[in-house]
Amino acid sequence: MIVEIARVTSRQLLGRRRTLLMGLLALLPILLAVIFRLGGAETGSIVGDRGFLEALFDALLVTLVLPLVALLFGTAAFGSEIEDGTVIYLLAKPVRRLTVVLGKLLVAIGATVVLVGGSTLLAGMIALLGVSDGQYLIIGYTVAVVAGAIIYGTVFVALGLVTGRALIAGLVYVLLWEGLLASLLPGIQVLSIRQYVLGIADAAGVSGRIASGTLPASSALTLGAIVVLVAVVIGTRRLAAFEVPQAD
Amino acid sequence: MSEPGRPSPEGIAPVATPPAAPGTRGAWTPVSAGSSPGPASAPAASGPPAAVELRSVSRWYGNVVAVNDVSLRLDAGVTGLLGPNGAGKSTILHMMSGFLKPSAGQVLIAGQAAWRRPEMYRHIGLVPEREAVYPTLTGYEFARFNARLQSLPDPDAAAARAIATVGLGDAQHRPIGTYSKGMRQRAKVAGALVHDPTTLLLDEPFNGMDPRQRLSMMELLRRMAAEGRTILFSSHILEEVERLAEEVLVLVAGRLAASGDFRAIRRLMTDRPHTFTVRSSDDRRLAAALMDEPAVFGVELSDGRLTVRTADLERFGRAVAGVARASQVSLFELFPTDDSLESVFSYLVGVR
Repeated sequence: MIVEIARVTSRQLLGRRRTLLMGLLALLPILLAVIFRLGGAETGSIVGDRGFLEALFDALLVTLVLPLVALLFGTAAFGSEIEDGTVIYLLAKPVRRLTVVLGKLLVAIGATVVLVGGSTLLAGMIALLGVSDGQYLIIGYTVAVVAGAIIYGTVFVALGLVTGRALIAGLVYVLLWEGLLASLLPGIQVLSIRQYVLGIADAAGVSGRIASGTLPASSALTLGAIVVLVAVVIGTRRLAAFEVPQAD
Repeated sequence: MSEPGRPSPEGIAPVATPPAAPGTRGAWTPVSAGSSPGPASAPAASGPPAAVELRSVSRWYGNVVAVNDVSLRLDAGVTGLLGPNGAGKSTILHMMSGFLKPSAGQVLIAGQAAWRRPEMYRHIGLVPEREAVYPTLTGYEFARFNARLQSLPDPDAAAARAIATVGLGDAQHRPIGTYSKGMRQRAKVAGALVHDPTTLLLDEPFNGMDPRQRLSMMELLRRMAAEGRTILFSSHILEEVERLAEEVLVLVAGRLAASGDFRAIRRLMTDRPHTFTVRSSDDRRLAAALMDEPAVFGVELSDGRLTVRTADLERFGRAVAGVARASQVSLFELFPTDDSLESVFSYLVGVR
C-alpha cells in the first residue's frame, strides 16, 4: 500500500523541472570539491584544510543544499496534489491516514537522500581523497545528511498539510530562524534542525571534530527523533480531518 | 401516482424535507413550513440503512451558510441534485464524500458517519468536479491505482473491467494528460467504480462534455443504476437532470426546496407563467390578435417591444404561429424573457 502510494507520488513529484533544479543544486558541492582539488590549494590534512571543509560541509551542504532540497520535495509531496485537487483520489480510499503520510514521506525523503546524500558522499570523496582519517568525515557527514533528510523531510511534509503557504513558511524557518536567529541567540539552537544534523555529524565524524555543532550527539539524536514523531502525528491528524477548499 | 392536485408553489417554503419512508418515494414532496425535524431520527430502526442519509445537515463557512438544515435519503436509482451555481450542491456532495465536516447534523453512508471514517470509501465511488487527474498515469494505471488502494484481491482484473465498463479500452495505455475532457471524465468514473461501490457520487459530471459524450455518460449511469446502485449527480442544467434522473432534489440557496419525482416538478415549471418577447412585422396588430387567444393572459406593448404572458406554454407555442398567419403578420423572433434557471428556481420556492 505504502509502495503504491509512493510509486504514484514519485511519478507526479519527480521527472519534472523541480527535480532538475534540485539536481543542479546538489551538483554544486561536487563541483566545488573538484575545483578545490584541481586548484592545488589542499594541504593534505583535515586540520590544514579545515576552512574549506567547513565551507563545503557546514555552510553549503548542511545549511543550504539539504534544507532547500528537503523543503522543495517535502512541501510538494502533498502541496501540488492539494492545489490541483487530485489528492481526493488518494484520500477517497479505505486507507489509514498514517499509511498515506508514510507513502509521501518515503518519496520526499528518498529523493532528498539520493540527491543530497549522494552529493555529500561524492563531494567528500573528491575533497578528501587520500587524506588520512578523511573517510570518517565523509561517513560522518553522509550519515548526518541522511538523518537530516529524514528530519527536514518529515517536518516539511507535515508543514505542507498544515498551511497552504508551506514553501514560504519553510524558507522563513530555514533562512531566518536557523540561519540568523539561531546564530544570534544560542538558546534557540535546541529548536534548530540544523544543529541536530551538525550534532549527529560530530558524533559520527570522530577525529577533527570539524562540525560546528553545539548540541551533544545524544541530545541531537533524541531531539531529532522527537521532532520526527511529532511531525508525523500532526501530519496524520491534519490529513484525517482534510477538508476540500471552499469552491461552491 | 394519483393526482394530489398541483401544490401551490407559494406553499413550498424553504425548509428541510422530512425524509420520506422508502415506500413513499416518487411523490412530489412540497416542503411545508414549520415541519419539525423530529421524524428525521426515526428511520434508523426500520429496515436496512439508506445508502446515503442526511439528517438536518448544515454547513457554514464563517458567517456564510452554504447548506441549511437539509434532510434527505437516497436509495437505489439515479437522483439528480439540481440547483443554480452557488446553491450548495458541491458542499453537500463534499459532506457526503467525507471531505467536509458538517457544521450541524449527521451525514450517514450506509448508516455510518462519513466524516473521519476512511472505511466508508469501500461503499462509495467519487467523481469530483475538478478536471485534474494524475496526468502522467495512463487510464489503466489510474484505475489500477484505485483498485490497489481499495485492497482488491485482483487489482489488474478490476482495473481492466472498469476500463471496459466506461469504454476507454482504446486509450487505456495513453497518459491521462493527453485525454479529451470526455475521456478524462470516463477515466474518473472508471477509478470511482473499480471497487464495485453501491453508491456513486458525481459532481457536475457533464460539465464540458460534448453532446455525444454526454449521451454515453448518461447511458453508463443508467446502466449502473439498473444494477441496483445508488447514483447521485449534481447539475445546474435542467435538461440534464430531466433526461437522466428518476428523482430530483432541488437545492436553492443552501436549502432543499423540493424533492421527488421529476415529472411533477417539470409540470410545475411548465405551468408557471411564462413571459415571451416577440418581434414581428406589426407588433400592434399581433398584440391585438393574441389578446383573443385563451392561452394568453397578458400582452404589453412598450418601448417598441411586445411582451406576452402565458400560463400554458404548450398551447401558446402551438397557437402563436397560427395567430400571426391569420392576421398576416410575419414573426421575426420569439424568445423567453425570464427563462433563466434562477427564475425557475425562485418560482419553485416562491421567493420571486
